[in-house]
Amino acid sequence: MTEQLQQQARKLLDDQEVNLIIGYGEGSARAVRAVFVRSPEETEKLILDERCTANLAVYLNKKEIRALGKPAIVARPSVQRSIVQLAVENQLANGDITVIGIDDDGTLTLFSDLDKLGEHVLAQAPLRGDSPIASSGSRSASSEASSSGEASSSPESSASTESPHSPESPHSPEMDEERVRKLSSLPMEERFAFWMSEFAECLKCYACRAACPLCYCERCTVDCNQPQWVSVPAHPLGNLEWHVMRAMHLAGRCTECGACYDACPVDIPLHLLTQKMHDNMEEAFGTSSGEKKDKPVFPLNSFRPDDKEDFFR
Amino acid sequence: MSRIGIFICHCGENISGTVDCGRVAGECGNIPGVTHSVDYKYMCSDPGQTIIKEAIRENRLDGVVIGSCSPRMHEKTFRKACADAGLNPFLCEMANLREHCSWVHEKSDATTDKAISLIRILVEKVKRNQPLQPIRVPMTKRALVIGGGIAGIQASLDIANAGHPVILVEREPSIGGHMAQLSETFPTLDCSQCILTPRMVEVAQHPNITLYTYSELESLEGFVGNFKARIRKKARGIDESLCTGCGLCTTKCPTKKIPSEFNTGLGQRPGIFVPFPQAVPNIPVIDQENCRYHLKGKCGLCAKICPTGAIRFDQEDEIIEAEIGAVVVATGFDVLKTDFFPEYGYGRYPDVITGLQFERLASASGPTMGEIRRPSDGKIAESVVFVACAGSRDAAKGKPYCSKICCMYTAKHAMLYKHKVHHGQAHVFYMDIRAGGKMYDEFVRRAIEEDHVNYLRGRVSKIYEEDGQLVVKGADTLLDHRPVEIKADLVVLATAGVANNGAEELAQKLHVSYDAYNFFAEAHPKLMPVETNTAGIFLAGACQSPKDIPESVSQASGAAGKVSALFGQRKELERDPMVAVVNRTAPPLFSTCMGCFLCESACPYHAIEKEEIRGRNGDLIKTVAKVNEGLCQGCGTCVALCKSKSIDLMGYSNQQMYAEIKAL
Repeated sequence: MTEQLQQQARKLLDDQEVNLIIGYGEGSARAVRAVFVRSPEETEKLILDERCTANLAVYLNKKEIRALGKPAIVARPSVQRSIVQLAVENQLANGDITVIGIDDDGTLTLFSDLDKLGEHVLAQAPLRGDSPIASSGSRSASSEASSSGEASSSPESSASTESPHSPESPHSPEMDEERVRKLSSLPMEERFAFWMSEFAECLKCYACRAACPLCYCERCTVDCNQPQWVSVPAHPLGNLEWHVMRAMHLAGRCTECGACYDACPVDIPLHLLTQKMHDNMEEAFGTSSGEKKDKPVFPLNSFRPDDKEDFFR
Repeated sequence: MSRIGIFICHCGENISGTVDCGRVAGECGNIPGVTHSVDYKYMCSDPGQTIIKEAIRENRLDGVVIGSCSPRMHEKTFRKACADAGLNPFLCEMANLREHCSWVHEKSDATTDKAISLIRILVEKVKRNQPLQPIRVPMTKRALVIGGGIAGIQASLDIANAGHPVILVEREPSIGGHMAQLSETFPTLDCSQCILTPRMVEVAQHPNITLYTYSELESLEGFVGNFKARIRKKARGIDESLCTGCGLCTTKCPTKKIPSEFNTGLGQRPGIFVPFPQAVPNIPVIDQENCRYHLKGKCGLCAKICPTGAIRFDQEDEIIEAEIGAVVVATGFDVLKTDFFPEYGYGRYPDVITGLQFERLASASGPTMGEIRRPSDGKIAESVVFVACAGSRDAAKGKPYCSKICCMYTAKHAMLYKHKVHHGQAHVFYMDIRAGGKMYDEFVRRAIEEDHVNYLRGRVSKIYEEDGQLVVKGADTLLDHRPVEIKADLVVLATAGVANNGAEELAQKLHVSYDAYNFFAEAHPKLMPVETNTAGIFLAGACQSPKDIPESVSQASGAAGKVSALFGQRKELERDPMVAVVNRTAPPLFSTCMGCFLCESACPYHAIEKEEIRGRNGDLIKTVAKVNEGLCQGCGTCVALCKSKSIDLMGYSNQQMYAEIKAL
């Protein structure tokens, strides 16, 4: 797999089709890091194995990267979804990038046409059917079961017995789904107490924001101080405001790559919030983000005459 | 430090009845930044306005807060007063002490405290107000009238006579609307067609009116003074420039038994037809759904007979684009059909008809040449029962409103019937007789007293057939709810007036609001009855609510007056500058807008455009959203949607709103 990728990358650079390959390379201590390959000789730095799951799409919007010229990006299914969503939001246009698509079965496909990529993503299994996401450097889930008083029957509580940040404790879509389901079944007060206790840990480091490919705003609302809508210090109210705002801004857009959770240094399972928002959107409007249909529709900003609600007529 | 003036109005006793205006003025004088604070009995009066103007000049005020009624009532008044005194009018704000405080609370200290809070909030806002300049936009002085019934005809003629070009669009093959279907009109019993058809001809011949019949509005984009209309001219199957209206084709058409829409199904028409002899324009239409040539691919008799060779089977719909300055919507109404009523036979009995069908029976040009013959067997009806309020004023049937015209036309129907069948029996079941209007009650009394129509106060519970005759079961509530049973040859239901089909879709195309019954909503029920909430779009006639001919004509003339007044202004149109603006920041950011354009489809007015920010050498730096200030209505939807808070609403900026909240 790695060999095939390196060959492909070398060819792209040799043909001067792209100026840069965004891919995975070896970091320190068995960790994987992003590498930015700019010459054919450097392509041997590229690796591709089961540890390579971080969402590289986040680099596509960075000005520093864009300044290097046209990139090709190594894209697992979750990254492909992010790219499609970025195209829907007019952040990427055809010709801006080349996508080296890596499917779950290891098939490598090149996409220079983002519409083709959209069709490809649509043809794949639905969002929740993806392979385990973001397992690299994954952590023990800080268990909501413990705070809600439920005992250790849940999958994450067994995971929590293992040492933090061990690669052997991945979180999978199935596990996440189960956690969302369990959280949703709790009474509102308990749910609120759970999240408040989670948010209490938040340092406001904004690593979640930095890791998210869809948090591409050059000035985040939280940095807007005229007026200061969200308070800056890491106190309970400010933390709550930040996390609620983040989840709301990703409603109907989040492609569930899990990068935010992986980035969080204090293990707040904040990806569950956006996952729940996604479920709500799908339930209410039947839409899924990261999928480009004929005419992409973002349900929160569109109106259909046959809408079941009539309060805004 | 700001120099803000506060002016508290007593509004007679409307505010001072429950709010201690003196205390409000006194305490508000102590708010930091306030230099002047007074109260007065009527701030909107001439001396009241003088108080404001003098205070602005003497105290060099840089902001004004007026605590009085709703801004809808007097914002213009007070802003103009401020402008007269040299203050930018948009530095003047109104606190609604009447609707938001004095009217809704008891007299108490707490009520006064709330009034003070309302003022304090606005003081904080005004401190952050920016002087704004009105927006000027060019204007196309051409009107679009949608619907060619009597309201649309009147509006078109009035605007055209004022010297402005008009495009009149009518969905049916001829203009005239429901009024052309009526036999006689109340309260004078003059013939409907006799008074209408001259107007129809006038429309056709008017040099300022362009008439598109058999056409519908496809889309309307833009804003007041600058609309772009696309009109779909449906394929008539006729070359209009060649057709002389001789009518030979309609006599030769082999398909003859199609229920005539104009005769409400009581008569028949051919596949190529003119809806009625006085139709304007007098050009036939090929009904493609029933035409033998269109169904089977051969026939073409009409094409063979046509002396000018005007038949065009392959004609296609044509899209006409036009620039428009103002729109009058006059799409009219419809009536419920008999099949709406299970208790009256679900439309099963041919001799249970609607009031509109009775009009055709009574009309001299109708299917029975004006004789009251029942549809089932053509027998002259010896006994007729009229049922008023069929569906109207009945919450259980979903129409709690009064259809307004039925009392009068039912009296007219009964009278016409008695005039035609002297020995016949006419019975009217009614709930109340609502005959408000000039000569209206006299008209009803005449039906009862001179023509001896039997009025029964009560509702009809059931109509059924027995031995070939209809039996109407009801109660007479004036005679101790005694059950009444009447055998009738014909039953006429005064069915509820309802919104015309397609009203909802049209409202959405036009971006005008509509009520729960799909009638279009006026901007203010009393003071703005012909305006809609969308600037430049006006209402006329029964598309707003059921109304009779005099009322429709008055409203049409009113709407035409509004359009003429709009067109009579200077070349440019002035608009309030409360519009959304996408921000600009210093390089290298240039704007915090990331160009995701999720606001684009959120905007109900299609006001979001794309703008390219380019460097000095012409390189594209960024593509960002831009608000077309002519289209923007200042609703703020984009402001709420924008994740990076890159859009702000002039006069209602994020900072102003935040300051207001913080002041609470």
